[in-house]
Amino acid sequence: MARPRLAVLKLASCSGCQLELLNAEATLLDLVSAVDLASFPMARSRLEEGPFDVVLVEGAVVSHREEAALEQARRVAGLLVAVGACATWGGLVTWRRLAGETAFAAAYPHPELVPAGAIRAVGDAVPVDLAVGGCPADRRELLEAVGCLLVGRAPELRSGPICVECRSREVACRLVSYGEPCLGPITRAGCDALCPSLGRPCNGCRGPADDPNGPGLAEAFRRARIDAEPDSLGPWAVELMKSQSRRSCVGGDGP
Amino acid sequence: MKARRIRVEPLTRVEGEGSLDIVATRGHIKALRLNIFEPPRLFQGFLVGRPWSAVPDLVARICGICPMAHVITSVQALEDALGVVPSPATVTLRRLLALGGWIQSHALHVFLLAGPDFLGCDDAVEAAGRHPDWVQRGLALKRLGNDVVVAVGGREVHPVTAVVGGFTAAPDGAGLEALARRLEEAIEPAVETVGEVAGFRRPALDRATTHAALVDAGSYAVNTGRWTTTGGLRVTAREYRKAVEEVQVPHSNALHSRLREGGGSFAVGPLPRLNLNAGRLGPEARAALEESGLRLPSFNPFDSIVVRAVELVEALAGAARCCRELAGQPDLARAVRPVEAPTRDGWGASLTEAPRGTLYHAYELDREGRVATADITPPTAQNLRHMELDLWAHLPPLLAEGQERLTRQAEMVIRSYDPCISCATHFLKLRLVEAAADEETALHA
Repeated sequence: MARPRLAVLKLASCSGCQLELLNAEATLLDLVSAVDLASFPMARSRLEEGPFDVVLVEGAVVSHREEAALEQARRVAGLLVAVGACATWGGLVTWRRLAGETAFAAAYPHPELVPAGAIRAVGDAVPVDLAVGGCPADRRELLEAVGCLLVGRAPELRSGPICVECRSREVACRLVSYGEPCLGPITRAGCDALCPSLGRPCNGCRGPADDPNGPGLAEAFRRARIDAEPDSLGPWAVELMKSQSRRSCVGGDGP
Repeated sequence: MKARRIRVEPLTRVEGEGSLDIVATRGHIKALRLNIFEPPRLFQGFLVGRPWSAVPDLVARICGICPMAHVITSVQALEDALGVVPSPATVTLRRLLALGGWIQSHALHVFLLAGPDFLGCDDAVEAAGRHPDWVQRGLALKRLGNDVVVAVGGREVHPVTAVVGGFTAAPDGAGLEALARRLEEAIEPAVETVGEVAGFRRPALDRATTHAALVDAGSYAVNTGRWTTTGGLRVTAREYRKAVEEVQVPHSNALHSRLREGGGSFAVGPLPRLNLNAGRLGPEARAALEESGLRLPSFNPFDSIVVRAVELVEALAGAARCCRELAGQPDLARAVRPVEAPTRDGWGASLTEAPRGTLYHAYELDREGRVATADITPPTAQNLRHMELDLWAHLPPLLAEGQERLTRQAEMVIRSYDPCISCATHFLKLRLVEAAADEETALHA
């Protein structure tokens, strides 16, 4: 039986999510024997054409170049997976909103020479079959997702908040016990509460949990007299604090 | 008359997106440019208006391979701006974090990205079939570097514990002792690697040029020191921008760097670092260097793979020493606890040696402690012009050869810099077309 063909496409990104594949040193050679890494420019010289069974897309769309590459990838992809914060919901997309139009002028002496366009997540440009968030995407989740897709099963990605993981690891609550502005209550679990277990509040890098209540968390900060501007809480906080599902409501039981 | 036009697109086994265009007539290169089409992400723009405390998490995302270098450099620049002095234990723990980054990055480059070229393989996947021991050793060393980064920073990509003033958590003594033992055991296979790569047939490429790196008193420079060139320039982090300017060129989304005095290009990275710091190597790496027979100074970028292997030994031994020193610290978590930083205005700068060379960060803060201006120059941006000039020097005798060999040689020159194009803003598929001579004018070399 032919091995399933996998491609990695990089849009505007830091390469951290695709590096997570190479950081799976112990399973990398098994992966290579199970899957044909048909197009993976960071690691391979020979780049094959599609069709591919799975295309992993890292990064955001920032100009017509990425848009064209992404549309082409969608045409040759059996399943297209958006990988990481930039591709799924945040990263560059939300940072640009934070910075406004002055961003180009601050980075380049001649902004007119640089291709420009609206910054979009992958799912805003083409249909996506699966999103694996996180900054970076967690390689256990990524490998689990790829494995499941290849055997035709839906992967089980965690959907509840980080708080669940702090409880199970018996990590003291950064919000209640330390009075810190922790975004754990509205951030999707799956990192085993990395930051709270290492002495700092969650900065929301994994994106919104199911049923987030950002305004409710802001209210909880106020009640606890935690003075924190959202943009001081990390690169994702401003968008995350706005996130609210229909089931959540401000002034309820809070987080 | 017809000119030969060659395009290598995209460049592979590098981090990020780029291509190479060459126009040649009768064995002479008429135009050559390294196109960087890595999409711009505008970090210096995102940073403006953000509180200083939000900066390290944001700049980590410049690069997934060297996030620790961007975090450490930003933290040091902000400390300079805010007048914060970190504890000696913090300084040592930062050195350990940075060296973990060197180990994983150099192991990736030597064994998996550049090594296959010298072994006559297309890439690491082919090498894994023909030279399984080589690939396994590389993966084990890479894992070890990553384990250092995880022990100090919490995770490999975008570590979380390093903040302005210190660390939010620290590894325990037993963990550090265990890591020290693994690092010490890895020195021997790393020394063997130096011997093997020193035996690789490396093309000659020597031209008069300038190399630059941090030089520090007493030890192999990592996070501190004065930026020193082989031309005799010596500046502090605060003086760097007075010595180096950035210019925007039409074919690149990355800025080029040049020395203000004389306008010349320069190179940063492992080869310049060793040229300027060979006397400060630890005993293990010094012995490995002597054994290798590499003569210094060397300005041949193809020697870089040997130098990376030597630096792998230095980083393993240096990291082991940091672990031993920190394991002896009675209450490390307390000793590295972040020093309180004021909210105030100021300007500060820092230079560090990232795996690929000198990294510069500077920040101006307003009275509310928010970023007014950010100035970031990664190693690859400093090297771009130098890479183009190396290609000008190396490729003419090869123009008469077949396209495949020409492409491979061009890629090897570029890959020797281990370019990180996401940082600076991908790599080579060569396309050869006959082009009218007047098209040369469209390529501003």
